[in-house]
Amino acid sequence: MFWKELKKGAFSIPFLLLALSLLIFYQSQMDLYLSEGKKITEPQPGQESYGLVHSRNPELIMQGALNSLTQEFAENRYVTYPWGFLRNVRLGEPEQDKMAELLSQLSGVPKEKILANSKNWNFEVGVGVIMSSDGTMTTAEPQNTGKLSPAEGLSFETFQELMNEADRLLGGGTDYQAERLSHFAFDVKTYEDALAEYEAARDIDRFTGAHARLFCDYMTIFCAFLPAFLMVSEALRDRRAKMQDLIWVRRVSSLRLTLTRYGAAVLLSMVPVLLLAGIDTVRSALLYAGEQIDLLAYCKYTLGWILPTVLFSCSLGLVFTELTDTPMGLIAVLALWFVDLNRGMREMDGGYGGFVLMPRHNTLMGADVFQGNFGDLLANRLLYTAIALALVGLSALILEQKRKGRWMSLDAFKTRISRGKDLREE
Amino acid sequence: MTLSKRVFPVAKICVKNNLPPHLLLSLGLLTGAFLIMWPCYWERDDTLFFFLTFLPLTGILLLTPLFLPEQDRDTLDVIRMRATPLALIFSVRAVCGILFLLALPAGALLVLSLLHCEISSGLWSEAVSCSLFLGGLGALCYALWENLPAAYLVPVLYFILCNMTGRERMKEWGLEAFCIAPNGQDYIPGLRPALLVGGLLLLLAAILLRCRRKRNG
Repeated sequence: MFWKELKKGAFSIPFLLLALSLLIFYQSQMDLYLSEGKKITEPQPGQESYGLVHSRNPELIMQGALNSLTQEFAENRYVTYPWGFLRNVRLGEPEQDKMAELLSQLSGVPKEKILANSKNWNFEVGVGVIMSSDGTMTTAEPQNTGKLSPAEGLSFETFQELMNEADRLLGGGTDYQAERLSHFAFDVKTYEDALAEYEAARDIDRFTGAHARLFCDYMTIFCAFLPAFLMVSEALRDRRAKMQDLIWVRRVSSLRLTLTRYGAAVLLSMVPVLLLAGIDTVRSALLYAGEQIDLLAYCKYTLGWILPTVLFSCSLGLVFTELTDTPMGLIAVLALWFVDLNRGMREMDGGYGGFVLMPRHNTLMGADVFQGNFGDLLANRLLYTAIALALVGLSALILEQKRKGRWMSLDAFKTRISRGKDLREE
Repeated sequence: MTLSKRVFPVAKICVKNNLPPHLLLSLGLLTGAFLIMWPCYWERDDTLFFFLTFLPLTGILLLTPLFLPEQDRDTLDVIRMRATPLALIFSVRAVCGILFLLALPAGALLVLSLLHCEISSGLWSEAVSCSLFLGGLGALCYALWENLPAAYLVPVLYFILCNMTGRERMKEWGLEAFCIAPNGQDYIPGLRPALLVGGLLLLLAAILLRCRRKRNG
């Protein structure tokens, strides 16, 4: 039965579309994580630049965050990310007044002076990250724009509290939250920092691990919703072909029926990803010829990182299809995907914990950060696997009830309505 | 029987029975988008981004399931027995879908203007062009494959690849139709009218294909 399902699924349009879109996406992104230009090389002493790193220096952070808030205040255009979506907030007069009060406390400049001068401020130097066409990021370092500086004697703790208050005034979801303030300042990496990163990539990741992580970071984006389309299509197939009754009266158990179909959809969804991972393993081996690499890295990362997302995506599609006999599950999966994708945009350099459906690690480096957060990632992946299995169990239960005629499916509902009409007409 | 006597009953059934679930989903999508993004005192570019991110999706929801009622073989047999031609039924259904597709962006614009957002001229027509194209694409895929999830997948994928994966990486695949330049201009001049015409042609092709298949099948 499993092979039959697999064969039917493999020749279905959704599977072909899934494979094709994964291929297009892979082709469009692969030079961002695996190419000659992306090869991890040992840094040399005396290089012009080794890159940037988020600063932990309170002085730099305070100046950077204050610059940003001052600029946004002057323009009355604040960047926030509620639910991860970018949303520009404009404050009304009373709220702007409160913000001026906060700026006054932060800088020690009287509120009236801030309100009077802000209209004439001109910000030529901003704090921001610029992404070039090849995907590399550079940033403008925080500078004192000459407008406002942190007040004399202002402690970092008080600064954090005031910034938290500014965040609340803006409705939350800003970079002024205490835990995100480090995004406002960057330190220049030293040779020693760069060497330590290289050594981590060589010793912990054995090079291929770093590329495999980035491969998973990209591929999970599409693997979070594409399998649901395949699953829903497979789950609706019997209904489309009017074969439901024929299958339901067979002696096969509902759990087996559900698991077979679910297993086939998951396997089919994983085949293109595993093939691409295999191709990348060969390309990595060629790129790092002569180096010690981990040949199983892509396989391990794909199964540990992407598979739970695929399991969940399929199970969500399945349970909604069993519940409603419609493709409603697709809406649920796409809505969840959209929110999760936007939320992940703010954690590109490492977002693993909690209820993250698509973990992010959008950088080749940071093996030590990944290792430090491995427990969180593991817990997250296990949680999604458990939820997926629970949803499959629930789907089997619903199917069982439908077979016994106890579940009010869409078809049963329609039949009852039309029977009711017939009876009334009689 | 006059044309109006043939058209109105079909339109009535369509509005009463076929469209409501899809319309509800579209309204739900827009309500969710408004609640999450809460547009208020927005500048032109922000409104444009919001509009062209969410409104095109209503086209997929409204037009892709154009032939859904005939998926049921019994319904198809009943419809085929009637004097009203299949092409007319599908066309009326498409027009009903398009009318709501025109109304939704207009309603969204009204709400945005009430929330004091700046609205650039031609925003409504841009949203209609995009949603019509995506809807037409979905309808054609449905006519081709008779598989609703696959039909939804094609316009969704097209939208995601165009809109969300970055112009730089997608232009070699010709997938920059929905990318919005920073100043609100199209990357490819004249693309939006082409999308509108393309959407109508796709819908027409879907209806013709479906009629031909159903007549033969």
